[in-house]
Amino acid sequence: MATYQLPDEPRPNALQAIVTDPMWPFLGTLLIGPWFGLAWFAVNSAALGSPTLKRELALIGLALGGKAVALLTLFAALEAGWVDKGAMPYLYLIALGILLSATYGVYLLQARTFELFTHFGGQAKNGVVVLLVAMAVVRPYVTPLISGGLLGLVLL
Amino acid sequence: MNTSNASSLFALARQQMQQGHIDGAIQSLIGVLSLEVQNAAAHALLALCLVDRKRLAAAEHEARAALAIEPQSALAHLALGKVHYARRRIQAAEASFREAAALDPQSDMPPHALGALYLNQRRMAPAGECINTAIELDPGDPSNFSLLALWHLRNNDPERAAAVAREVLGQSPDEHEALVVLGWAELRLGRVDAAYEHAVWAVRNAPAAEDALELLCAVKARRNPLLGLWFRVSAFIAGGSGTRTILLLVGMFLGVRLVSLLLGDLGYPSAAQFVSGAWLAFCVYSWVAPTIFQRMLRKELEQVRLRPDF
Repeated sequence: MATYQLPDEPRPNALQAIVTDPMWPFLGTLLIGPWFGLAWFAVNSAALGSPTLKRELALIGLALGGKAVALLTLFAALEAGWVDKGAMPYLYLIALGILLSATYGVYLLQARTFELFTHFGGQAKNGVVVLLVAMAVVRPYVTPLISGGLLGLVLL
Repeated sequence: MNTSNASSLFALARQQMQQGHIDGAIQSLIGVLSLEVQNAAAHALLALCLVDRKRLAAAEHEARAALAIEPQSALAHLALGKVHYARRRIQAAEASFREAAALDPQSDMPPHALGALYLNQRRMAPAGECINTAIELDPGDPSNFSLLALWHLRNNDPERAAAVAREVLGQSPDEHEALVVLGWAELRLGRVDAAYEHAVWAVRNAPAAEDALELLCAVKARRNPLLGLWFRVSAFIAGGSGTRTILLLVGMFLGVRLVSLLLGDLGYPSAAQFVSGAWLAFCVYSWVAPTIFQRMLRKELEQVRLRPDF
């Protein structure tokens, strides 16, 4: 009698091999800048095959768009003389709050998918290497390219 | 002869599954399928066992084989739903569980599975409805009440979670999920010794169960002077909805920045620096502590390896 054979498990695909704990993209947003951390979140979401990919991308858009709109409003208010220049660092916290709230939202959504991924045997890469390399090598080159102007304020 | 052997092996597999001997059940089901390859129920049960053993490609193959043989099998749809869920295809999983519920409306298994899915997605209202449906369909199944206890725990009500779990354990003292939920509830209520007792009890019953080991590790972390503070803070921050967590974390960050700016403007630059430094130290601690906890957990999990034929 032939024994019934179970199929072997395939190796994880190339995209799955770069999955990391969403804590690392979150730290990337704080330590390197939204341009880096939010892009990393998007890649990680695709690698995870996240069922909430669209919502995560919408939140990433909200983080950047929301910060841009808040900054534009602040500058318009400053030009119109509605706010004092000394109040700008305080008001900037509103823009930062919008960015951070949306980023935390992406983190929480992705953390649930990541939990499922690891629970069912998925192996995550340690993101600390990417973070350190980006801090030491990428940031010094990219920051001068995008600093200055509204784009720099939003992305850095 | 073959049919009778296959029936005995199938009954043995069901018994092994009930007792949590999943590797044994897999071997028995392979035996059944070696004799009767067209047995849809055996394919479906094998798929469920393989999901438990995290062999998802093989599990999907088995669930689809069961559906190909018997497209109207509720068990096969349930098994495929569990595979979809494990592979993070949440909508497909939901659809399969609903199909299983439609095909067998008297079974509590599809609403139980749906309730667990919604609970893990933090969709508390539909999760509660499904769990109550499962309880109505089979009030004698302790696992439905354990899920209800978990629902209360995730809904930030550890008192009720503990009460429901205790009721379950009064009827079925070895109900694993209820033991683990009760342990977590005791931990949330600050009764660390009681949590430890339940964790040890759960580990003794199921030495390889990851959720029991995670609970045991959490109790150890709570007792550890270095990790205890992080454990309490994170339990407070994460205990509630996602929106509450976001508001708390962003509020803390903005509050610190605001105080730091104010102190600087009022002429206390050293105090402003101190506030920023203290916040940075808290952040570093909150990044390091979970990593230490995860390492503790991995170590704990690596210590337990059961022989497949156990």
